[in-house]
Amino acid sequence: MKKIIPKLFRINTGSCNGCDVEFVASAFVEKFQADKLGIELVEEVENANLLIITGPLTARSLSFFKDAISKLKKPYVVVGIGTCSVSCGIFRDSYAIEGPIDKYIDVDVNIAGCPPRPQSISQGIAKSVKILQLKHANEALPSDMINPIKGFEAPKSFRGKMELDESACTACRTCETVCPSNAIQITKVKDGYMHKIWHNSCCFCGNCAYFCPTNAIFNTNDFDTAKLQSEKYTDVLESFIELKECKECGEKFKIATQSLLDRAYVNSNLAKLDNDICPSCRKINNFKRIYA
Amino acid sequence: MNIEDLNNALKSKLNYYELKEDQDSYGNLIAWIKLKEKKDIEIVAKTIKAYHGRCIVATCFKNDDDTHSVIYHFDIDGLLVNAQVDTDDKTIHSITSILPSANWAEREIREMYGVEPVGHPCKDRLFLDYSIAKGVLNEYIPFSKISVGISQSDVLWEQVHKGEE
Repeated sequence: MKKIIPKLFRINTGSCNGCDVEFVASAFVEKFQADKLGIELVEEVENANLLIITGPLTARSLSFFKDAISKLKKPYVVVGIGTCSVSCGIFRDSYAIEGPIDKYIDVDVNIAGCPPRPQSISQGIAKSVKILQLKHANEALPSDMINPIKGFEAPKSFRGKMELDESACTACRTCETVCPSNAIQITKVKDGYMHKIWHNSCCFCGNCAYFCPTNAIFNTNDFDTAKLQSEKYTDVLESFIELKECKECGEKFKIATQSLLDRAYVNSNLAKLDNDICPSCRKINNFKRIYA
Repeated sequence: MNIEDLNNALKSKLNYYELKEDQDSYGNLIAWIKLKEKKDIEIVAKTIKAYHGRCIVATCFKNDDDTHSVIYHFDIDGLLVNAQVDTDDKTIHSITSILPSANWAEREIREMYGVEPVGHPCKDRLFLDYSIAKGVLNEYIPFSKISVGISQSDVLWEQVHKGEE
């Protein structure tokens, strides 16, 4: 395959500069391995074939952005860095936002995060370089790609991708309510609730984990958010929270999880709590036990 | 400078206004002034200027009856003075010619709430793009709704659901 030199140009479409700072770290710090990709930085967008975009595309930047992308010469690859560029994240409902960027340009790689880790940015750029080579060779683009950075684990304290412990979740919707970027949706389905976390909208603030009464939702240290555009709407963590059938009335109900009971009754031993019947039947039984 | 001195200075020039005293947890003195007439804000601004004060920022909000209230926040050497003006015709008297520090605050109110500071020397937009109409904060989803994650036009989640089918 003919060697193609990736010529990188970066556009900020109203980013807070967080992603830009992390991008600079990825580009210039040796351990993030961006230098191995043989990338050249160019000063004019018309000379670029690797476009890096940050920001949610504000109304103010739209005309400049359109002007810049009209000068690009095919084939080129586009990488969106940060949740803002991927799905507008917390700014999605704003009157001043025209994004996400894929409304105006074909994006190849999305790197969600607020901001993403430099390793994740390096992975995304490495993927985009591979895609650029495939485009030059007129080859089909892959549906999935192997991550080039190996042997790295983010610190345990790193706020990475969210995870849900189904056995502890009570589907109380607290996480859905406090999520500033609308990344969580809980829907009622047959025999339970479906809990969905869309990683490409998450800003990794940890608000859901902070407010979760049962510690069911939590940040992992999984930093890898560099995904292909084809995975944009499928990078979702789905969890099913099951309802139980009441032994007495047959109604479906959500049992109080052990983590919720531990929190509610700190000093009591609740081993005898009858969790096989629904709260309504338990009330009736208790009433009978006390007053009958 | 204390609130009593300020009150004495205003008393001689203004016919009617309300003044309340307050103090924050650090012991800083705060004066809350409510003006009856819109144009009286110019007298307050002149008084602030006479004491070498400045306008820190101004806050605007829309009331339930569609009128607007603007609160100017002034500082006189550590004394905070908040002066409230109510308007039912979306205009206020600009004080930028008296206190230049109110320039950006008044322009921001013009953009975000469509309340015109009459007599403001600058007609340009401050930061809002020309493609966005004036008074956007009057028209769009209240922050209280956005902050609880209720998106009214979330086409992106629809795409997520589509991918599952």
